[in-house]
Amino acid sequence: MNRKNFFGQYQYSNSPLHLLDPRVKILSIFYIIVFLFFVKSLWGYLILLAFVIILVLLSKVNFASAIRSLKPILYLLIFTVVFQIFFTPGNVVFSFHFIKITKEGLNLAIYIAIRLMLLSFFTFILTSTTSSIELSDGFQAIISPLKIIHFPSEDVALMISISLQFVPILFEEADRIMKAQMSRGADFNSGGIVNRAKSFLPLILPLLLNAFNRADQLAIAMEARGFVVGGKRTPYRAMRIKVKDCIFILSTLAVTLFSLFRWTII
Amino acid sequence: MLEIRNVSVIYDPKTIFKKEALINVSLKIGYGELISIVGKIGSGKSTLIQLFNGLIKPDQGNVFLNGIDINEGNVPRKEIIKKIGIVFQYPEEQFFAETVFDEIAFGPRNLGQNDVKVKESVLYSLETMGFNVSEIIERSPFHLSGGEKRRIAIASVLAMRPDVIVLDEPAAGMDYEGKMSIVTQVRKQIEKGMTVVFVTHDMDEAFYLSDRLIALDKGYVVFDGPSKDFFQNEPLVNKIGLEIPFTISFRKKLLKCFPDIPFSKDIDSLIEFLSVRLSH
Ligand SMILES: Nc1ncnc2c1ncn2[C@@H]1O[C@H](COP(=O)(O)OP(=O)(O)O)[C@@H](O)[C@H]1O
Ligand SMILES: [Mg+2]
Repeated sequence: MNRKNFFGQYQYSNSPLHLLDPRVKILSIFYIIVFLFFVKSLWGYLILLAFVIILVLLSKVNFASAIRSLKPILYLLIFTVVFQIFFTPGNVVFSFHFIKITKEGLNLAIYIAIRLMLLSFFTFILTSTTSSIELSDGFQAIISPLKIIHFPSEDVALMISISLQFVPILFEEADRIMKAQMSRGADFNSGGIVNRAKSFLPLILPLLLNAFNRADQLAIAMEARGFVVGGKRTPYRAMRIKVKDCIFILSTLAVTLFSLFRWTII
Repeated sequence: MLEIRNVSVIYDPKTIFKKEALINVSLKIGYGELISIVGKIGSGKSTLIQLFNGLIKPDQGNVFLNGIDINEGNVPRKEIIKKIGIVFQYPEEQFFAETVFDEIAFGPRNLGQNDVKVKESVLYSLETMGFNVSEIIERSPFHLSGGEKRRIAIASVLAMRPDVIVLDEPAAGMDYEGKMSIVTQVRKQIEKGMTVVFVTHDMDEAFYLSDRLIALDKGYVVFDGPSKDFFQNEPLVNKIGLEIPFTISFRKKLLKCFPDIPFSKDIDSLIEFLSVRLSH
């Protein structure tokens, strides 16, 4: 199990990208991802691809791990590409019995594949250069205007960041309990549906119980240290927009605008 | 009976998280042996014992049980766990049943024993772990003390009557009393002539409970032999970040005044020697 690779895990370094204000990173990446759906030309995509490659290089994170971040969406990618290729009506360029491949299908498949890839690369940039604490602080700052309408933005941000930290622990624990039960003869891989569901009880039950216990302990520890729901909290690091953040915002805007032009020369 | 031959284990191979947890490890475990496996945290102890019953497959090398490669062909897992019982670290976290009886019966039932046999196994293991059977058997395993929970967890593996029992840090996270109750029970298994392998990073425990010691460092086996010899090699013990057991360092300090003080595994006999000497 590759538990450490979730969400393109944070890779420590002090590259310019790591030092950016998390709010700027979160909003810019969000903007780019939304923007991806408006780019209609292959050249536009290529420009964005070049941009993301430059970002990976700038961030000094492991290049191979960026490629590997595609793994979780690989099946989705293959499925949509195959689906588009075979089921889009239009000008047939190739046919064999009932299989027909159309020009439109090929086009669409390529676009969707690139779009999905770019989407996962940009998310990877965000998660691999921003620690979970920065993510939660940044996210909290971004949704804090919602406090005007009494939205509990701080609590929601805290909840999200705690859950994110619990996910890898939960997977590790599931692995551990599964092994312990297998050592007592549990069999998770055979039998009919009913039997199999039953056989998961010795895995699910301890997992839930331990998670509750841990949540309980966390709550006690937080209360003991003066945590109050809805109380005001001081972030560890004050966030301030600096010159490099402006540069990042400007280059993001420039690249996205650039990719919108129709390049008639080519 | 159990043989590990030239085994290497690599976690997350071909990624940046690649970790060689065991490197070219070879060892043999025979019937009736008392072995402790020691090493710092992360040295590969838990990985090593999971090879014993096939939970982890070696990336290189073989694991033989009575001459049969357990990772080759289709040796059914049940045949393996019938012989090798592993108690994991913090085993009480695996509890799920309503009563102590059902918790312990889980293993024997999985092995396909009939009701009569299951009951027999549960009673046997509870008695072996020093419980008053009628008092504990209907209780909820969740409502026991830490030490009791731990002993029930060990009983739940013993109930399958394995030839070898492997305990991964059985006393971890226990208070002194809990620790002593576990150690006493392990000691009893040993006296019964069972093969016991236990993993620990408490050197006092390792020295007190075992004859043979296997030391791991960064995935390598750096020592395999009599535990006495290991602890007399102080530079090696220090080099891999472990400590000399109290009984040995205590005796060493006393040697200056009492050059004839005998080598002993437990503190009681040292104290006896001293009291005899000092009363003269
Ligand atoms: N499931 C796993 N995935 C990746 N790495 C692991 C896994 N389990 C253990 N490791 C790593 O392998 C090394 C040996 O671990 P382990 O056998 O648990 O050591 P010990 O029991 O001596 O503390 C450690 O560096 C640990 O981080
Ligand atoms: Mg361990």
